[in-house]
Amino acid sequence: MQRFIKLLVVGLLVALSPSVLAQESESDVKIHGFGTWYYGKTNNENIFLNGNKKGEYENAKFALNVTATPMDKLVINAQLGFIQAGDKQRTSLDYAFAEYRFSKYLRLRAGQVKQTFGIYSEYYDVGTNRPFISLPQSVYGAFFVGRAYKGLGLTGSVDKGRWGFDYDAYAGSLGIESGAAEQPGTIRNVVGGRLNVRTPVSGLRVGASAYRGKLEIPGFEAKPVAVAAHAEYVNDKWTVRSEIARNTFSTFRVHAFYVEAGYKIDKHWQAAGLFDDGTFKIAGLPEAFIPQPSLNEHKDRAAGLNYWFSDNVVLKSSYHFVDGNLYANPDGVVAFASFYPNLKPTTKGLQFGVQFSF
Amino acid sequence: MKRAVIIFTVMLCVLAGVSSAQDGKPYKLIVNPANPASALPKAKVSKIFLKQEGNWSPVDLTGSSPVRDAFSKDVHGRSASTIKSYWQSQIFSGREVPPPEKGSDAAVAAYVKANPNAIGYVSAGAAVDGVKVIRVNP
Repeated sequence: MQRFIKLLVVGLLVALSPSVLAQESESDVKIHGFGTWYYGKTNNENIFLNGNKKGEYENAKFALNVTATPMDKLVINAQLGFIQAGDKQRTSLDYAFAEYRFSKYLRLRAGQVKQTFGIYSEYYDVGTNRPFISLPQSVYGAFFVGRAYKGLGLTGSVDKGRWGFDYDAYAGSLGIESGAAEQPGTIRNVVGGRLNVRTPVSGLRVGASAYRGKLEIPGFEAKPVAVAAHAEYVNDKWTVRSEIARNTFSTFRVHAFYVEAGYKIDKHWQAAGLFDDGTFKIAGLPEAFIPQPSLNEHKDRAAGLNYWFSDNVVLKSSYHFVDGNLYANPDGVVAFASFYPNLKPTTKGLQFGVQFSF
Repeated sequence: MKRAVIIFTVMLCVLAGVSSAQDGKPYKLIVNPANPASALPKAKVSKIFLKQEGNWSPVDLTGSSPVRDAFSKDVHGRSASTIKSYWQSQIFSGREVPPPEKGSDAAVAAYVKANPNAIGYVSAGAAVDGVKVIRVNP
């Protein structure tokens, strides 16, 4: 843990260092990184975003990203991460892959590659690229985004007049994202893709994603089919993002929707707001048969205030008002159709921390 | 003779003003002298510096430079800060890395002079010996 904190401090100093920011190395190897630390607290026994009733300080991540160009058209990418979440700690190979660039229209990727789904899946932990410390849980909590796929992928861009089209397609096996916990399962034989459309309206981008495969968790198998659509508008003042997603596996149906906005009040201060809505349903099961509906629901209304020291370092705070226990529940509670007599359906959560990148 | 000197001096000042700024812009776009381009559309310049257009080697001034911010607002329609956010998504998704950054006009000019495919920008009054200034068309 101490070594991890030292790494975090070193990374923060590097991100703040003007000499590092001033000169980009011209070598064929580029090094970047990012880090996060935050304190999380909730008002009851429910744990939400790794915050608990006592107040949790042990939430941190640091990652180093390396890009190398050993020869023309060949790029090697790798990212190594160190995660602390409560009493759980792990190192992770976020991704490591080779990319051969035939042209801007076609690039071939092979290795362990971040899944392309929605807006944030590829830079899941990079806090300087979003208004809140954590991502909207309806889409990024569970059920939709994998850790990375191991296999082959194609990516490229096509421009037509004032329109631009960025595509991704991949096949392989997909690890399931779960914070600092050990990977709970894998989606095998996955096939998926994403299309981003850069519109003629400057800053406006829309897109759609989908994947299917075979989910294997000890004691459970299913064939998930996930689809999603997203929209993003970014200018100097506003960052507005929204996604809607649906995942179907076995008799389970998961729906997700959020709208997230950040507004730069001035060069340093930013206000943020979030509406996040997720539901988990069992097809064919009447509502009356669900003993505790709050376990299958999630509504998060959050407000945040951030202070940007620079583009690379930001102090963030946010307050969440959460209805439902799908993502806010005590340790050991299994959601879905179960009953817990003392479960509190409403949670108030506070997050405060720092995020940086370099 | 005196009048001629005054007129000549005034003309020199006017010409210096023209060459120090392109259509009043606070920056000059420069390329290697071997590059045949004499002008580029603004949209293409934006794509080049976002590395969405192949076969070019763009170079930026550092993020804190007011010239960079002015260039970014004029060409990309966004501040340098917003463009940095774009680069973060590119870097950490393993897609692309930003152009190299140089700390001064002279360093940018040296980079462009040394690289046949290079393109950069310097402040309006910067010396441009050894590189070619080209126009940015609307």
